[in-house]
Amino acid sequence: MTGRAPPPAVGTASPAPLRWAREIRLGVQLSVTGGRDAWIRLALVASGIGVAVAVLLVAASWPTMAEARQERHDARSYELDRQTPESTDQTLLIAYADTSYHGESVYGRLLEPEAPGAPAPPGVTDLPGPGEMVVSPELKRLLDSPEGRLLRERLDYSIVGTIGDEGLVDPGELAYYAGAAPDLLSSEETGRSERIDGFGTSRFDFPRGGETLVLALTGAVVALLPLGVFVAAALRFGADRRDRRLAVLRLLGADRWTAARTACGETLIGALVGTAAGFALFFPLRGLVPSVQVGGVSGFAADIVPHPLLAVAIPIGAVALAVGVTLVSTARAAADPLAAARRASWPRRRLWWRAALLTGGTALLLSSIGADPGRFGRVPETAVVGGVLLVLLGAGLVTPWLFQVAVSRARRGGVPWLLAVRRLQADGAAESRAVVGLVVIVTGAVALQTLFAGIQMRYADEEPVPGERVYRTDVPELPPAGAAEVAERLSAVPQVRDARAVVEYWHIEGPNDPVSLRVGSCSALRDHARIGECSDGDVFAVEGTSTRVEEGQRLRIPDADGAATWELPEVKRSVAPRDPSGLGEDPVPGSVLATPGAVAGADLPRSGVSAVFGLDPLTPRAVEEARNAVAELSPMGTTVIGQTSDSERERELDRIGALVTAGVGASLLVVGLGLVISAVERLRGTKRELAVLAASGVDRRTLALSVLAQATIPLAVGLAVSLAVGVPLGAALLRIAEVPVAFDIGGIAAITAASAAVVLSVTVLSLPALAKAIRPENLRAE
Amino acid sequence: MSAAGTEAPPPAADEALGGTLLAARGLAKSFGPTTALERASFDIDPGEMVAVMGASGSGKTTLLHCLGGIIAPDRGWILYEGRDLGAMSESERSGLRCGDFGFLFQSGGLVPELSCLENTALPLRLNGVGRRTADARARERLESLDVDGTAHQRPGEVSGGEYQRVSLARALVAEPAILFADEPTGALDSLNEEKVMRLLVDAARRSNTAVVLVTHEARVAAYADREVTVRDGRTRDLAPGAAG
Amino acid sequence: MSFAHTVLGLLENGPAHGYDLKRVYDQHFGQDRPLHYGQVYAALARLLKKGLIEVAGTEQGDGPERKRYAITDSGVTDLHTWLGTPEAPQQYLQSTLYTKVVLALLAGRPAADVLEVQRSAHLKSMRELTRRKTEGDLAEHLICDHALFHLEADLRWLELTAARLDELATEVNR
Repeated sequence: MTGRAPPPAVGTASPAPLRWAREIRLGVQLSVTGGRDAWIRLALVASGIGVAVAVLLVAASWPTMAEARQERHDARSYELDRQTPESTDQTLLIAYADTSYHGESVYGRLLEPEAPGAPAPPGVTDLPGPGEMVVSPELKRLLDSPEGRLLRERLDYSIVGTIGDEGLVDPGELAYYAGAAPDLLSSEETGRSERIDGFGTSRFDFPRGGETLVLALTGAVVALLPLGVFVAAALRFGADRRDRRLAVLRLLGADRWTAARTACGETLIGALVGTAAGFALFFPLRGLVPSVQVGGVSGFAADIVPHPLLAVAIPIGAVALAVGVTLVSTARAAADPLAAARRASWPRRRLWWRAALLTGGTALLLSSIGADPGRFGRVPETAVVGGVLLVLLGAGLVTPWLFQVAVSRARRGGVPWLLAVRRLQADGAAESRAVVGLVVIVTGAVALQTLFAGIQMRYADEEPVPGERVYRTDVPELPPAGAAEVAERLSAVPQVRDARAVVEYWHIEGPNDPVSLRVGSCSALRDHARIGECSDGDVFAVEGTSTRVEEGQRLRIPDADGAATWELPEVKRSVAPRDPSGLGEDPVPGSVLATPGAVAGADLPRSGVSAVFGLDPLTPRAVEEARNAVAELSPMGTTVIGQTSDSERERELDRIGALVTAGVGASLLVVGLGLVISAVERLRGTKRELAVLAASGVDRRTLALSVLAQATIPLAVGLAVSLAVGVPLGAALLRIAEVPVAFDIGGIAAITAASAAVVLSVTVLSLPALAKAIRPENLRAE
Repeated sequence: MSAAGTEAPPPAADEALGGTLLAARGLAKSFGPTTALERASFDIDPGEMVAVMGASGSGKTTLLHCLGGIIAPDRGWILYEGRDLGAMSESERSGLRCGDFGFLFQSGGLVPELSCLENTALPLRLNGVGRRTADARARERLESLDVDGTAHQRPGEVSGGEYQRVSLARALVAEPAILFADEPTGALDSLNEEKVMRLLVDAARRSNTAVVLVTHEARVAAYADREVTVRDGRTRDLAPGAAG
Repeated sequence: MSFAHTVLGLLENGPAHGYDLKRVYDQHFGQDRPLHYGQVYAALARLLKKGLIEVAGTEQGDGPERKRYAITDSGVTDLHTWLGTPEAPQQYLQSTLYTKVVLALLAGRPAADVLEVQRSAHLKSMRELTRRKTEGDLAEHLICDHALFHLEADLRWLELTAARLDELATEVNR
């Protein structure tokens, strides 16, 4: 190049890729050398994208985590349907001993090795001896704490070790393996124990309840949508300033695409730093996951590995989204530099396509109502998710239009109000964007809360009346006299009412078909059939059974040692069956009811006792005490079931509820941050005007009130839309889940209160900038 | 505004100052290491128009800010109608600035989002005047300054001369006793400068408003009744009699 | 030669008597001091001699003889040339004021006072001119403005000199 050559104009000197790289580098430079503002913008963009990437990475680990959970679950299971193996030096007797404690289920098994070579379950190195147990870390913590006192009484074994992670479904699981007392377990079919020669089973899928599925789907939509909104909002932080920079570049002679590439360079650095931050954030977040249960599901940190495809797609997607949003949002500044130099005006907002989204979503949801009545787990998922998505997006997009209408209609009010309204009217783009995010999130949250309220209300309706006999327990492997013993033991618990028990024999071989036999006192038998007059020694046949039972028939009752036989004495009469606990059990086919006197000579074997009772007063503690009473009779008799509000499902709902609350909180935080940034930017941009107003005697209170109004108006519009759309949306979802509609006034009040708190915080956080803006120094010409 | 210096405390209202509307003595003000004012004095009578002249950085704007009660001087006192500005609370001074004083700055004084009419009505509304009345009076004021055509435009949409005239309308709409004008024509060409100055003088004369006019341009200062020159933070009163 | 050119310019509108010329001149230019009749005739005589105007007719009335003068072709050419020629910008290098300042500095007198007094006087006359222009018509206005801008220029010089007085003192006393 000679000395006389003209300096290379922008975009003529070198081949395109090189030139582009230089332009992008210029953008990068602009984004880091623009002083404090540029750094703040960069930090905001990076942290916005960082949070989104980290959360998405965790979400992308979900399949891996679910897989790992399932694998561990399968590894510790054993086949029940398989032929029981012969007793060898490789076999183990194992019995189901699950229990519940204040709604938390406890996985429990009793073990009795038949030889030294007996297999150990995963996570257990040495099998516990009689009277000993190994426990999961979480159970150990619970047993050691005062809250676990009643459970400690129930699980009266000495703790000799912990179950390793590989033996637990998730880190929060309560689980124990206890050594059974000698001769407690048998491998008979009738009992609860099994003989196995190893652990591990093939897959078995459990269907989820319909309402939980709707909740989970809505939750997923609500959780992922804001992330997109958040990233888009983060990318627009400080966009005004950037637009002005681009305009300067254009006026200096850069063409449209050069300006666009420079803008991309500026965003790119934020997106890349953000993606890196996201990956960096992912690891501590991963460590946090075991302590957080999502929808009742938790996982080990080691399981949280993003699906490889998603792990690649997320950063690429984040950067692509960043660049895309930048290109779209700078298109106007790049095309018409003078427009950016002028004050931005409102784009014209059209209603029809925004309303169309809302209508489309509503139609989809309405079509899902009653689509498949009566069967949970068969909800039309695609329509529900699509409908929810459309309604949420529609609500979000209708908001800027409503906001604009609301602001341009507002006329009355004092000076602070006037200032705020006019400011929003002149340029409410930032507020409008912030509110879109808010509406999407809060509408979703309100819908979810309505859904909860309905589901919880249903459980509340079904809550048992104190004293009502809806509790049932089954104690395995007791002698025929055990029924009376169980009833007596239960009655010893102060709050237990009307405890009555029968011994149940299933799979009795009769001359025609198998029959079942229940032995109990007259009063206990009345639970099962309308037997009328009764005295010890009587035998009844239950009506309506296909199998005839007649006097003199010989019934063969299998036993560990062979079989006992009992000749059926005179049947007093046929009686109509009853459902003892109202749990919806079908009448037992070929059922015989006998009083203890009638079977006295038969030498019947041990079998399961079923007891029904009520609780009054009805307290969670009473349930636990009843469980303990039963556990004293048999370590395998640890379950008491009944319809209580303290159910597993309820806890799951609570967890999702907590998650929704956290989501709403986080999104309000983001919206608040956006409002603070736009308020502060605006205060700084108009500091001269503000200083003049202050000098002219406008007091600080008036100006602060206008900042308050400026934050209140967008949030109020947003909340109004959220409630107007969210409540009907929740009601529609309740109808889909076939739950009666109910509303959660408390939750809505909480969201409103939280929004008010956000408005106040925004104002308070803007006050320093206001104080700075109205300083007399700003009166001087720059 | 502690009278910690050597200056005498402000005299009682009925003393010596006679018909003086605003009087200040021994004003001193520093911003960090920079001394902006040092022993400045000032007097203005009702309806009088006084030009404050001086090179840039001489302290004339600081003097105006002190006199207008926008900032408090480090030393010295300012009496407005016998009341000591230094003894007033911030909110009292705000009230004074809002009612008795009017302010006109070089540029950028109008709220960009409000229409010119709303801008003009702002001081009245702050003083508790109803919207209708305030709008009507603001419109009258805009008419008298020949800018009623801008009533529904935003400040960003009007020319520089119109902008300053709207600013003047806002400064005068509450009929202040004193108008403080800081380089009111600094951003205008000669023709608009003259238009604004003539309107300012006319309006002030008609309502007997005193004007403190800070400027570095003799042509603008020549509209005043007399000049006060600020040099290195000190005032020199060029009384009309001193010429010759 | 500018007064004669002014007369020539007035005649371009059409033939006129000497008396008419004086009246029109006073109306437009004579704010400070009205023209003497003799000045007009002296100028007309000079222009006649150069052939730039001619006598277009004589009216015999009650009073003195009244001649009507008209511009000639060469007069039109001359006027055109005059209007098209810029005035030589005046040079004030040796103005009285400068002399005063230097003398004061040489004599060790307070030169700043000289400047200050002058500044006051300038401002005072600027105030008067401003008042006159705000009260007068457009012609008055333009003339006052002209004077104001000149005075302002002087004032700037005064201010600049005041700011450089120390520098000047060293130069002068070297």
